[in-house]
Amino acid sequence: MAKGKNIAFDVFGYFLLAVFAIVFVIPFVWMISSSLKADYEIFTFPPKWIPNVFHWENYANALTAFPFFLYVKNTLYVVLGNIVGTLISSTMAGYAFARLKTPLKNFWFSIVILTMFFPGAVLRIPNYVTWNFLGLVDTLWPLILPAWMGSAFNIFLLRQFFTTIPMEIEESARIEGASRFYIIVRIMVPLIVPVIITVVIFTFRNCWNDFETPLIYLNNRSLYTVSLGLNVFKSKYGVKWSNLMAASVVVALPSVLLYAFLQKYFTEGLLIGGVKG
Amino acid sequence: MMITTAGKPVPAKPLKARKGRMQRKETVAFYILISPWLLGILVFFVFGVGFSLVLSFMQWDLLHPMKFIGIDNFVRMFADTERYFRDPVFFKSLGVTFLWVLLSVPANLIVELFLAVLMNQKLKGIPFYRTVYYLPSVCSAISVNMLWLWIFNYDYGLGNTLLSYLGLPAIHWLTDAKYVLVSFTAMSVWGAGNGALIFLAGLKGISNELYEAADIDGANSVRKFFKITLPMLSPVILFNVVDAVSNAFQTFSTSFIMTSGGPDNMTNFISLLIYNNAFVSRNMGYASALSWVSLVIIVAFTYSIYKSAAKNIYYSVEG
Repeated sequence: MAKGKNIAFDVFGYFLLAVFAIVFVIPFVWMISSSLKADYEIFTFPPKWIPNVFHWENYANALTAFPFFLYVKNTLYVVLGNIVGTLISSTMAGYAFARLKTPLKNFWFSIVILTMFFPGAVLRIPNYVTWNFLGLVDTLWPLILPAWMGSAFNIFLLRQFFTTIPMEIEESARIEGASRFYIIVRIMVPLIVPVIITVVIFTFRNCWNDFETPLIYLNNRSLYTVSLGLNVFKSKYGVKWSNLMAASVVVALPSVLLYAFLQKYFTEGLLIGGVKG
Repeated sequence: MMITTAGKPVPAKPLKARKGRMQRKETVAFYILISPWLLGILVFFVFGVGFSLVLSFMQWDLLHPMKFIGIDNFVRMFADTERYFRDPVFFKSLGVTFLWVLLSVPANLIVELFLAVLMNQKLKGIPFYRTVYYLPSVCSAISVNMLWLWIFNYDYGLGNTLLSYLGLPAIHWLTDAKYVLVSFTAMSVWGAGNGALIFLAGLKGISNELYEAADIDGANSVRKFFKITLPMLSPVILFNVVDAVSNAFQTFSTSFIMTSGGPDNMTNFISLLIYNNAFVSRNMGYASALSWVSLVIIVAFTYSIYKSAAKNIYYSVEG
């Protein structure tokens, strides 16, 4: 093949990469640029991309105008509760499905798969009735307790990963007299750190982002999570686009930072649990 | 015959009995380990499904006693009944939900495949581009909604700003019934990085030998893409499509936050309809019936996708 043709392909490749990168980045630039503008700069057309002065106080205003830190605190309760709960319950179940033999195992595992794909809308109403009956509507418990009863996706992920760990490690520990509990905690768990980190990242993102569940169960504004809070902010201060953008940037930041720091483990865990299957 | 365990002599049991006891211990351990999950399944899934089904034949507002009304909830989706007028929104809601699925899933699929192919090239700086494409899907969905609300602002938003650069007239992105689903699709495609990375992983799993053999036979890039790449990726594509369809059918927060179901019910997706009936109108019975209809539709739709795709899916033999 002619060398010139190769170079042409490469250049075209770089060109496309760059074009799409610009397309994908522009909304971010717009978001941050807007968050740093004064009102008069927001309401001009055509807009200036870089504001004259960077109005950092928009961020301060946004974070004080609505009880941001209260919402973060509530969300963190939910997130932490979910992470701990799902790590315990899903790891237990994932290990059981991967390692233990019992006649009905496949039947139960097919239930796991079923619930993974089951459209949730049907269950929202009866579950609300259940929580209502327990008197736990308008508390954070309906957002936290379900995680303690396993998450189908995490059980699946953990089970996949457990099956990639060779039996010899367990067997040699068993010969030396270790109990099953000891095996899980001290041997298996350190081996599956990448998958655990993946579970943590997914759980964090799902809880931080979750809008529908808090919307259904929380009426008292002092219990609102960040996602509901941002929506309230929009309703009250919608016209203040600069502040809304600042608030949105802040709300988006934790997930981005989490991904940035734990990226390495995340892709590794995904690959092992998912695509390679 | 004596067996010693930790030094103490123990009489040997016959092999079968020992195995039976071991199996019982394993079974007990199994059920102990899955007991939290099992509890959740019983309370929230089994009871949930059953109760929801029962509810769909009732009229209930959580306060007054339940009233059995037979199939009235289902009939009222299509026609007037003795008790209710026909739900004027149901068909429209179903229609726009389908329209949304048929717009967003192919659009996302094409962009995801395209980006994956783009990122699969042997060029410098790919990790940087990977981050750029993936970043939007990492951001909190609520923030994304707020951002695009602002982007789609008629007077000062990015959308019409860009249109003005191109000399095109401004459009009412979110308030024009003709465009609102297109706007939603554009916003959804911004998050294509997620799927693109999954496809990229799949692409990397395709053995190079296949491409080399094709090169020897003189195939050009397009042929290689359609005859090698797509078939080898087909299981991943299928999974991705089914997942995307299921998610698209259940879209809720986007329409709730950005358009409240408007304009003219063009974004009144079925999940929003169910929500409003259940938690605003407190019509638990009708909302349950709606959710069952939506479930049946999702299952039927995804099943037909599986069936029609089955002949095109190539399952490669694991090496």
